[in-house]
Amino acid sequence: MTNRTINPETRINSNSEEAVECPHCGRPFTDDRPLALHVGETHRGTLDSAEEERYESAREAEDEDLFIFHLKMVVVLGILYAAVVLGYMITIQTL
Amino acid sequence: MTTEILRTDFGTEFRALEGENNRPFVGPAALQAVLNVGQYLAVVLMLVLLSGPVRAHGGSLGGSAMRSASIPTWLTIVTGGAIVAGSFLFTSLLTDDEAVRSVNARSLLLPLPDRERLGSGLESLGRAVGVLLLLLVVYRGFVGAATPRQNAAILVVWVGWWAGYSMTTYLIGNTWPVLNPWRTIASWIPSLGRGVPNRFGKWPAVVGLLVLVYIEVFAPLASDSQLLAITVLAYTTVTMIGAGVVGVDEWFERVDPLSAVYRTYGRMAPFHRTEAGIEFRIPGARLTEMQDAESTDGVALIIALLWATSYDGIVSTAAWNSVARFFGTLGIPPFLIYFLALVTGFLVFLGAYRWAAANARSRTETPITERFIEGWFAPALVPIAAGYHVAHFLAYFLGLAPALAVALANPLVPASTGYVLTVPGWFVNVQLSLIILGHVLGVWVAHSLGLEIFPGKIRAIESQYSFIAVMVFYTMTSLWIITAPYVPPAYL
Repeated sequence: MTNRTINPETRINSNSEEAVECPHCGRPFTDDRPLALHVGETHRGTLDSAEEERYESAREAEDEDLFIFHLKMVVVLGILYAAVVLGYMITIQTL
Repeated sequence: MTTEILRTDFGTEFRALEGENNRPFVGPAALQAVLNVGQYLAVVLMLVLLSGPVRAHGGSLGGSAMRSASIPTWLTIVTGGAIVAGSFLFTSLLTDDEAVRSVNARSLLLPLPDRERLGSGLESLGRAVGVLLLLLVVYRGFVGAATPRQNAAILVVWVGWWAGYSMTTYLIGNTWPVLNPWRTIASWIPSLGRGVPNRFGKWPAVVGLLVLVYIEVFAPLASDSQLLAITVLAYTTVTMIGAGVVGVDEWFERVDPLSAVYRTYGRMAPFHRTEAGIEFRIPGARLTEMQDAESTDGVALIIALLWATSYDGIVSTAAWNSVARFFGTLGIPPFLIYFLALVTGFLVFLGAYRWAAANARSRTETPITERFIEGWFAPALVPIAAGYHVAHFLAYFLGLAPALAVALANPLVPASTGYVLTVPGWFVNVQLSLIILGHVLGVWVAHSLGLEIFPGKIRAIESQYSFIAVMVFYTMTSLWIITAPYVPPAYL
């Protein structure tokens, strides 16, 4: 794996809530969870125990959401597939 | 456009080609026979897999008379969109970013024995071939056969170079910096080395690309070999003056539109040259290795490339003809109608993409700017542009390759016959695979790039919704163009 750090250009909308900043690289985030995930993913190896803990819990929460998310994706995939098949069935019948 | 002009000139052979390829895969009678419940699904699946490109291919060769009654065009177009959307849904299940990264990072180094000497030997050979072909095109352009299919200049430029060679730049690797005859010639001429001011960025290349496409569509460069030779000479003059003023490297890296096209295509190619030798990567994988986002002009360049191929096709659809004639009756001169269409289409493609970036930003509530998101995901469009190019030109290239070979075998004497190959019917399956591969690659590249900048997985996937919507729009536009029966462009 490549060891690159990407520094995206960022902008905080003035009307939104206060941003949280990554203590390692200063990149801003709008929420604690993306921050904890970013710290764990990008600055692995330099985490203190509190950060480690926050990362673990953020990842667990993310994994739970991801499971539901994947279920939804599978359902959408099924619907798409069925729609294409039905589309062809109906079209062929009306030919 | 070029294909279309050549196509009309190549009349009989291409009509024969159409008949061969447009044979319906499953005729109504055959369907009746197999339509029992058990086999229904298999037939439907087969149609899903086969119908799109069959129609697409037939349409691109201009035949509407051969249209079979199997699948209406709109369903073909919708299926194309569904395939792209479906491939996104599949990739959304792959959220192990380490695994994604390691797939993209796979590489194989092919060491070159005696690299220095072999490399420079090949380079000199490539440069010589490029310059000789340029000379041949100009020479045969002025004195060659009047029939396009026997004219070496037209065959070399449109079949050999624009169709065939262009494919090698994204399927194999970008060899244009070596082959580029203008670069070789420019390097012999002293240069003032003034440079291009930084504020222009890559915009000169973007404008140059759009201008080239405009000329290509508006002027009969694929049927009039003398006009082609004059155009090549004009391009040579502009390039020499430009490179002489701003410097050779500067010109070909920042201004020359052809170099920009091949550099962009070359970014997805599996082979590229490194310090250690020739490196092989999974096609498209190098697109995921962004250090920084593309600048706005870099995004515009990729969109211009995507739009250029589409514009080329749109002008030979019936829909465009009625639009053009409507504006014509209002008294707008044709050159302006075509120009406005070029600019409008480019802005629509660019606008759609920028909307996607803005939408991704607000959807994921990220502080990353729209401009960065735009530039970050732009490389994912390269395989889509390449996929459309190959779909457009592969059968055309293979069909006319023998004519090209005959013309090249005896370059100083006009060919007396122009052999044309009839591509077999199953060949559409190859085209199908390539089209799908292009789109799936685009989705994969965008997915890999998304995992790099968004923390966690869900946001990375959510950021893709609007991009996928735009990709589906591009795909369906391409399929519509390809399936639309060929109509000679109005006023040309």
